[in-house]
Amino acid sequence: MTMFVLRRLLGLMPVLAVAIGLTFAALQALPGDPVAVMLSDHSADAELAARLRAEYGLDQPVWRQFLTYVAHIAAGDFGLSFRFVHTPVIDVLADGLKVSPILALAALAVAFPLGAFAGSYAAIHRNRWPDTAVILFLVAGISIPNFALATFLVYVLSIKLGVLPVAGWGTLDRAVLPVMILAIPCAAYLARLARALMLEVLQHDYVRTARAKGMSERAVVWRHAFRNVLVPLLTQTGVIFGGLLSTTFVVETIFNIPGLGRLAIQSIFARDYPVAMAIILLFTLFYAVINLMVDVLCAAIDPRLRAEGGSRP
Amino acid sequence: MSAKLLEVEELSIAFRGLRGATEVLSRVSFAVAPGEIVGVVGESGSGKSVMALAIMRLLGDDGVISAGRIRFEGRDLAALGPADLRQVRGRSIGMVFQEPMSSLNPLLTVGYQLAEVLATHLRLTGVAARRRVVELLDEVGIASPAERAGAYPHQLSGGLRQRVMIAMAMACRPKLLIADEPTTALDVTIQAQILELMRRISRDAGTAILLITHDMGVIARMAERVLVVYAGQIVEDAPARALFARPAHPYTRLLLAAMPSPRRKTARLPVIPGTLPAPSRLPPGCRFHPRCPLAVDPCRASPPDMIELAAGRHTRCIRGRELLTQSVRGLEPVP
Amino acid sequence: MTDLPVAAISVGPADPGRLAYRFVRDPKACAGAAIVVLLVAIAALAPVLAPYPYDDTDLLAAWVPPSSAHWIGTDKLGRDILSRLLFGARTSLLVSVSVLGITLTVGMALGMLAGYLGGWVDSVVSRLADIVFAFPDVVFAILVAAVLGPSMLTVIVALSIVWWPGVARLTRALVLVQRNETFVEAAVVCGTPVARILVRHILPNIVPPLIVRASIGIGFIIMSEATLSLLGLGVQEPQPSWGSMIRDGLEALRTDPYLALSGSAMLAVTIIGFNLLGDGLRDLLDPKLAGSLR
Repeated sequence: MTMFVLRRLLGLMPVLAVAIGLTFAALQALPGDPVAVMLSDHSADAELAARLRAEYGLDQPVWRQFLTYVAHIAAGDFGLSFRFVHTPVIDVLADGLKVSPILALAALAVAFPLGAFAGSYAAIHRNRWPDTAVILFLVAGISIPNFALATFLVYVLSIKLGVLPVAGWGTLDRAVLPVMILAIPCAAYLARLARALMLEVLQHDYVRTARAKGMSERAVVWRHAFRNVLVPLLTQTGVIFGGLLSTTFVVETIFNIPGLGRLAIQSIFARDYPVAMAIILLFTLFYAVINLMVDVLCAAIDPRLRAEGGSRP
Repeated sequence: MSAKLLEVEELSIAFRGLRGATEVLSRVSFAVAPGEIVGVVGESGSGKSVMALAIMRLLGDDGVISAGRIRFEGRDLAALGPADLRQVRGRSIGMVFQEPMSSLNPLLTVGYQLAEVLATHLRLTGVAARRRVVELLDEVGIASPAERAGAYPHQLSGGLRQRVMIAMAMACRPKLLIADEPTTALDVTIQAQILELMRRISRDAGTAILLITHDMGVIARMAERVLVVYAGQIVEDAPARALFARPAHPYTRLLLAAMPSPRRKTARLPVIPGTLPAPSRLPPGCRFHPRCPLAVDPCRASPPDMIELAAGRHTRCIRGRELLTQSVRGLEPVP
Repeated sequence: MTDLPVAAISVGPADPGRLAYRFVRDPKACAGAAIVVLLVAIAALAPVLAPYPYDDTDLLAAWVPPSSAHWIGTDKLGRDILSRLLFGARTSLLVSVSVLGITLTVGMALGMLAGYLGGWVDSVVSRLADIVFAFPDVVFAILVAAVLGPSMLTVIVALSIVWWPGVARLTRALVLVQRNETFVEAAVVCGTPVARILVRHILPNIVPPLIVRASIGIGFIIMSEATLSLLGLGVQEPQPSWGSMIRDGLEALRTDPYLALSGSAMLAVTIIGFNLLGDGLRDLLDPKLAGSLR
């Protein structure tokens, strides 16, 4: 198992390399001179400009800049912000780093159990009313875009009924709507998958064996069948976590949450590209790490995956 | 009280489909005495597996018992509620399935799956359960049982898995073991070992076995009494010895003739002409008549009833008595 | 996306009449088709249907509530919301059809070459796809949009870069299945040129699953366009996009909710329509996957 984790950790390296290479390339290709951005009102000051260029390493050849970039990132240093002069990017990110991962993980923590349970429950009660109810939820949850959902929910819950705050961050009631909006589409997608998987698993011979042993229907479903639903469901959860991360950009912008997503968008408009690229890099890494954890979790559940060269079923 | 363990009376089973219900088993009656090994033989699709599943009430959502009773130790299983049913499953009746590959949950150790039976029915948990699991694995001839208890199904061979299935079915010392094609998926050498194991366990524990197979060889090796199933009906019910000596139904005769035998001179095995009719498209009269070399006009006209030829010998053939007493032309093996 | 469902996708030739009949019998698919047809009609006839030009500002009539003059009211610049919603359909469809056209062309071409030729072509295409797959999809689109600067063209390019690998991967997997079919082997043995084998023998057999993929994907593309526009990285003023309209509307949701609500409703109905149509087509063209969400 340790070897398995180590192998998967090594598998992170190419992803990291690609993300670093692309963000650096993007930084190079970006329009506008960063020094001009920094010097908005002192643009005539050539000496100051030269000093800033040196401080930011912009006077170096591109390959030197790249090596510096890689070396610094390896040390957790994303360089200096363009917008907040002399401020390291990591300091600009500090607040957002405490928000976005919590937001995303909270949504996942809601979406996964909800989706897995609702989908499985619908499958057990196939073609009866719980199933129909879940399917309606699925169609709505998958089809309604997250920000349309945000509009409706904010309008009804916050403005018309006044039960939840319209925007902001920091208290539990403020987190309810953003987490819901992140979680609902994921939960719907996972429920749809869980339902299909459960319907298939319930046809398997080992489910019949469990019933023939005289076990209760609850034990048959949740101890035997559900376990087999879990592995493919987790695998897909890793994939859709990317969509969830993408949605945090929207949700943070709509709800005015001081997270990395909103910061990234603000930075792009302020031409503070080191910050924007650092955030994109971090999101990509976060996505890869979650998928790695999914792999490890799957291997913990399914002994067949622990074997050398085992692939997910 | 009768001396019988299991008495199936006039059992009919239908499957709901898109175009209404289809009867796959029609008014089947038979009995199993305590400790008796009864073989059920028939082609695939004849309804024999459905019969086994029906006794355990494992037909699924679409299969229904449309008529009849399944009397087991005086209780009618067909009318039992879910809670009472669970008391019977795994405790009084054990079951072994055809596919040892897929019949065990791939994500749980075999020891765990075995211990589940003990916990469910005997309230045996913890160390006591673990000890019993090892004993049970040892009993079915698994070497180093303590280690194997921690193995996952994919780490075991097909033969070992089937031994685990048997250990699981026998864990509560059931009165009846239903084995549905237990050796079909196994190599020939393993087949013999598994059959021998089942026979030994039946003798030691006094467990009756309902052995379902399409293989007359397995029947010959194991069964004390034989039920021949054709197109959802029992067509012959006889003690094994008598049946092999002199079958009283043309279908049984042809099945026996189709059995490979070292004594046979001809190189080619005879085959039964035609195919098993689908349950929705049964012929009028005797269900076997289109394939029967002995069919006469009355066979086409009306469905035959079971007739008793001797004590414990029944056949669903109007010419059954002829078959027993004189040699009938037309049944010589077709080369 | 994994290669998982590909084995299940094998579509034989079917009688078009029968398919049409089954499609008409499916109420979900019909509802989806109706919404899509209506949307296309709106986009095509927007200049005729819209009561005002989409960029007709009137600062004196900003945030006017619904009235007989402005059925859904006006936005912060006094522009007629209804007119902008109708023209917004043009933007959505233009972007999604462009992205679909580009990704299907590029993705299918590369996927077919990768699947049929294998070797280094396959490696290059697969690695390129892996690079895109390493990023969460909209995050990658944001990266591209940041480099190119916000505009409608940017959205089309960014979403095309994000979407082609999925098409390529599906195509590749489908071609791998087809390549081992007897009729393809027969064509190879007869010395048929590669291009001809791909276009005449393989292409017709892999089109149905790709149609299904495209019809399901189009909803996501419309959603992604709206997302980028909502974030300000997409379609720019004064051109109307539902995404940027929702953003503008959200700022005034408390006092003037009509812009945000109508924009959201329009977007939701559109995506539901495409998803229903996509599900219907999948049930129709891909019998093995059908019934998974009955």
